[in-house]
Amino acid sequence: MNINFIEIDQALDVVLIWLFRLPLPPLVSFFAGLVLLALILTIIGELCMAGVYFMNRKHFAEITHEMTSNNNASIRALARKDKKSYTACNSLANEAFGRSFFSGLALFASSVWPVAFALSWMQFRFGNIEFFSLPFAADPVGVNFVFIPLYVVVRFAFAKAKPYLPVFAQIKRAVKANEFSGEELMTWGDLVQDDKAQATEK
Amino acid sequence: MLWLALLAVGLVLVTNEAAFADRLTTAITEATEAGKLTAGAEPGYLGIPGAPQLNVVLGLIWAIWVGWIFSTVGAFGGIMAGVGHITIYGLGDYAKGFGKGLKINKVVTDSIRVSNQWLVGCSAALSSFNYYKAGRLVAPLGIALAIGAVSGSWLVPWLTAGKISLKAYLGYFGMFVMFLGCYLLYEMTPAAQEKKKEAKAAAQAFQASVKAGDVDMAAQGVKIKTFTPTKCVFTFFGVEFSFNPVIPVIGGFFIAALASFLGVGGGFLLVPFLTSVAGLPMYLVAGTSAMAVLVGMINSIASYMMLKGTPVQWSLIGAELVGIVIGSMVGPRTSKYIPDRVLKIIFVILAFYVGVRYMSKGFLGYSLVPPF
Repeated sequence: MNINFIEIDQALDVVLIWLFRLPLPPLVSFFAGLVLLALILTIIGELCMAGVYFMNRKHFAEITHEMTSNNNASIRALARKDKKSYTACNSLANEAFGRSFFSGLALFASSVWPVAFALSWMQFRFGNIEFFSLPFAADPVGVNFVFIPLYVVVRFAFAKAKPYLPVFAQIKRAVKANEFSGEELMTWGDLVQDDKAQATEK
Repeated sequence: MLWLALLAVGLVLVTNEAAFADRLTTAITEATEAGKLTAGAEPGYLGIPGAPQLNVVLGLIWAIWVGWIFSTVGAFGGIMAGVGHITIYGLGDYAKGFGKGLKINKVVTDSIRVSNQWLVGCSAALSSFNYYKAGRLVAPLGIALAIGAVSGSWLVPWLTAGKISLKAYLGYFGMFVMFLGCYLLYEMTPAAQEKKKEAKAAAQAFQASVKAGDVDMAAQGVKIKTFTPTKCVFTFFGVEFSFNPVIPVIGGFFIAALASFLGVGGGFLLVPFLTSVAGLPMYLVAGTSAMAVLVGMINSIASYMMLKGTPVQWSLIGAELVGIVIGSMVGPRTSKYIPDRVLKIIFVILAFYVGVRYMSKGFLGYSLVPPF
């Protein structure tokens, strides 16, 4: 079985071009199409990221717990001037962070993969359009000059709106609940409270 | 900060679309005139007439493998993505076939490098933003690393983009993979294992013995004791640490330069580097390393695209991202059945095989290991 990349662009063209055919003046319709596309890509990406996260929720919870408990122990060790324990706990925390970093990378990939295909399609569809020239660039800019910043703005606005959106607000709460293992990641400022809390317990 | 970073990447990317086309068009014209390309042949990779038709399914399967590594071993993922671009898609041999004198060879080589970097850059952007919000960036150290990263990232592409033929690139890439193999091998030695065991035992002993009320809060925070151009001594909760301020700059430079030249992420090199340089706590190492990777990536990608107009095959990146996602979901499930040690052995063998193959192909012109 072989699908070529050019065939993906052609297949996407059939669907995506409709976003740019709103009954509006051509330029307005074009920009409205870009905004719609950015919004659709953001929603697909966010849902994919949530799906991947919950399929692996146990794995993410384990890594977070290991990282948090070792990090907190290292901070407590340092507060007690125990350099040996600090170094030991810190190296374990860093190891867990390494795993968390690369798992996070894969998780992020699950939210941006549609953007790559959209960029490819836009190169295919609008590649020959020259928008305008910038003073510091020798050549005129193309469609991505407008689209990528637009995608960033849309995604940022979506992130701000998430707590008020039905499905996404639940996702946010569920992620938080999954990773909470009884203690939050400590910083130095937490030492005072931590110490008081432990004193109260005992 | 994330959005500014993404915006910066975006601006860099988009201001140069025409430049890609120009560099590519010039290279295609030159290769056609030299009789190496047939005008009107079916366009393949990057739209080059007669170039390999990249197979999405093959790319996806390879990326699943890359994602699986990302979620189990971590560091080797970026390398494997590079191996995929060079070998699996057949881009390496394709670029090499043009010979050293033609621009098309360099265009394809640079495109492979930049494609690898996109896979890591985006993630670093997101992490940096989150750490910044949580107040987990050590600004002076981050800035020192960034200075090194910026100079490394700008200088290397500027010096090498369009000058490194695929043959030489293969050789250096092989050397780097070999180095990584040696590092993995060291991690498996009894001495390294013993060190890990000791750390685990010490951590557990501390966790069990921790008592309330014995914290000296008077000494809290960072107090700089002495600061010279070569040595910074500070106390952290009364415990003395020291580091050489020059080292983060040099370290940042070399790691960024290496990442930029080879088209791999520098994150896995930065984390141990930061921990050993200043004995930094994890919650600060994480943010600082993510920031330095991000700065390096933005600069590296920017300089490739702004100064040299390197084209990127976006649909290839898309297919790879999908594969990485699938692979990363599979990884945590298989790691239960494959012990860590077995995994490491597989990677060491793989690293040595890939390393020897690329080094011999790059520097000798033929492979010492099959397929020859």
